Amino acid sequence: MAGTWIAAICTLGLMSFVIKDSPLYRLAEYTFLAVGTAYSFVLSLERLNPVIITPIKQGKYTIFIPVALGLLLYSRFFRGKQWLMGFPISVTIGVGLGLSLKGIVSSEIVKQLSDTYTSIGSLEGVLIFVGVICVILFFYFSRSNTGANPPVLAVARKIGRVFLMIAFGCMFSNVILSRMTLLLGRIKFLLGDWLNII
Amino acid sequence: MKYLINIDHRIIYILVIISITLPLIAPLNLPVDASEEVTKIYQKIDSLMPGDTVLLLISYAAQNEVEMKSQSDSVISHLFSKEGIKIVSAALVESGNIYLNQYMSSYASEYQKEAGRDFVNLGFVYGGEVAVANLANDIHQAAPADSDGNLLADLEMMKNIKDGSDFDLVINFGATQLWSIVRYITDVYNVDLVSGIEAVFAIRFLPYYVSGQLDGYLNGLVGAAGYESLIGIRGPASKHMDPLSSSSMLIIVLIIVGNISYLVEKRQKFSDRSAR
Amino acid sequence: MNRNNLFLGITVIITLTTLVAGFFDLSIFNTISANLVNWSVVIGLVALATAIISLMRMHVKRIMTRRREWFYSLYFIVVFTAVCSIGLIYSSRGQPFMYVVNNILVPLSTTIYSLLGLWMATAAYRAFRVRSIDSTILLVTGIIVLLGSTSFGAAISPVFARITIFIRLIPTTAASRGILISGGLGAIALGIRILLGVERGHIPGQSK
Repeated sequence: MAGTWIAAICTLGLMSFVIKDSPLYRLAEYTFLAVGTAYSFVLSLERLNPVIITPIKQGKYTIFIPVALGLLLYSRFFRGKQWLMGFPISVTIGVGLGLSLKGIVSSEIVKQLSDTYTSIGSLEGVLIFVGVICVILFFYFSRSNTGANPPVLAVARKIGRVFLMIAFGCMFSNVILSRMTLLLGRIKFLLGDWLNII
Repeated sequence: MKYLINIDHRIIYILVIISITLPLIAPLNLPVDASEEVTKIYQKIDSLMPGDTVLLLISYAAQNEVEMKSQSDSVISHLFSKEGIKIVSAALVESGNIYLNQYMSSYASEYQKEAGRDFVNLGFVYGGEVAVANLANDIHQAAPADSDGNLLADLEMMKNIKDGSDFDLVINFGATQLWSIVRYITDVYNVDLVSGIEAVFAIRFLPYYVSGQLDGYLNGLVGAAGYESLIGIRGPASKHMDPLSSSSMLIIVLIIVGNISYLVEKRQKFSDRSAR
Repeated sequence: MNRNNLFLGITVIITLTTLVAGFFDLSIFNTISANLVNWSVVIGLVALATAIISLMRMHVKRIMTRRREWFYSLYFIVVFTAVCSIGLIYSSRGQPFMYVVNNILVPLSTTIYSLLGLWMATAAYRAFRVRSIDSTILLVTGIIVLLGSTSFGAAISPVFARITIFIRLIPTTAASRGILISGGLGAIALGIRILLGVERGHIPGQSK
């Protein structure tokens, strides 16, 4: 009961923004930021035990290397020592880059291109093939800006543009559905759980 | 017509609230159908056999609770009703942990399942994309202990589950890490993947579905309602379809009215200019 | 050796190790790569307090210098400390912490994005204009797909659902795939630029 009232006050506080920016809205906004940050922090702190303490207890002392590297990131608070952050940043960027390059090449380029090519057997497959090529050519921005471009490129870009507009129209409808779903959830809470009207 | 050209935004807000409230008070109960991509998820879960292992991942944030919880409620209740399957669960975002704990607690209590024997809840796994790659490579290294602090090496169920190849199906909710699940689990280990996706992100993952990297997906609340129709219940998603439909119709009407008023205003300005 | 070249060298070696492990089945590279991936998670976890410290410093400075609306910063620090204390004392799965999460965090999270529904309606009336062929195609497609996705549209005519399926499976898939591939090529180009040392923005104290 009290919990429902607290939730309702928080909800109405944030919603008061549609009328105007008020102290109630500001309090709700800062409450959200504070509680959200605290929640993420607490949950992440609890991960220290299984990810760091447990391997140490199991005798896996190599875990001290990334712990030391992670601690180097605190050098940003000491004047003249910020360069030490370069070590952990280089490691994380290197890992992220290696993983994503491999993932992008295999999942997003090879797999997608091969599926585009192998599905040509049907009318739908031909349409998708034409669409994909035209959309990729649409994003070819390093074409010559002086002189004539090949007519094929101009036509391909026009077709690509049509495909993109249709896709954006589809995305637009999904965005409307998604946003309206969020709003109806809050209205249902206020009228149902809080006021018991529905 | 003059009034239509400049409707106050507060009137629009009131119209939106009415369009959502009325169907909630007086529901029309219009029928809901399941589309092909929703049916494929149902078939994948229905075809699970005793002994199969499922990786259940929750990666949606609290702000998407309305559409995503409807999806995960119906799919997970169907999953939990399958006998003899083993579930390893994890949350890839902090707020996903809220819902994951609720589901796994109910699995233990309502379905009389035992942690460590029938399921293992890894809790929140920190790291985003790298966490997914870490889980795929070596689960015992990514999460040495479950959410209760029990070492994975000591759990009976985890003795034969080491990496992504040991799963028969991956079920994910949330678009946040779906692309990394495709990159590091599905494509590397050739594991079936089905996912619930927020409507706002669903279009981005269509190429994965068409290419077969994603075996089925739920598109927001509409997908959730479709899944409820397959499992034979008229749950919250189905009940929310009426207000969702009416508010969407209002948006369409507002677009049309807005454009009519724009064209009328444009014509008036043109005729004023030519009169001068 | 120049410090920046050292950091670039570390990035290149680690990237190449992870790439080789991804494309080839060589056990030594697989082991090193798996360990590096785990290290990356550990580094992030150890460093998570840096964001909190920066945030607190900003708010404390606002309070000390009595900048405009400094009391909100004080409120932030008090609430943050209180919630953190509850979480650390009772654990994140404890009743008190879950009470705060379920009755404050979740309602606020859902509300903040729900306002977009109202603004979307205003934008639909004021901003979504048919000014050109492109915008016409976009709006017409949007309206048809919206009708095809909802039960009202299905009640009007089943044609909308069929057209929606066609629109999703063919032009939208083609465009999304084109965007995915183009984005992937762009990411590869950026990766190569980082590996060649052309992009150095990630190295502290460096610009391109």
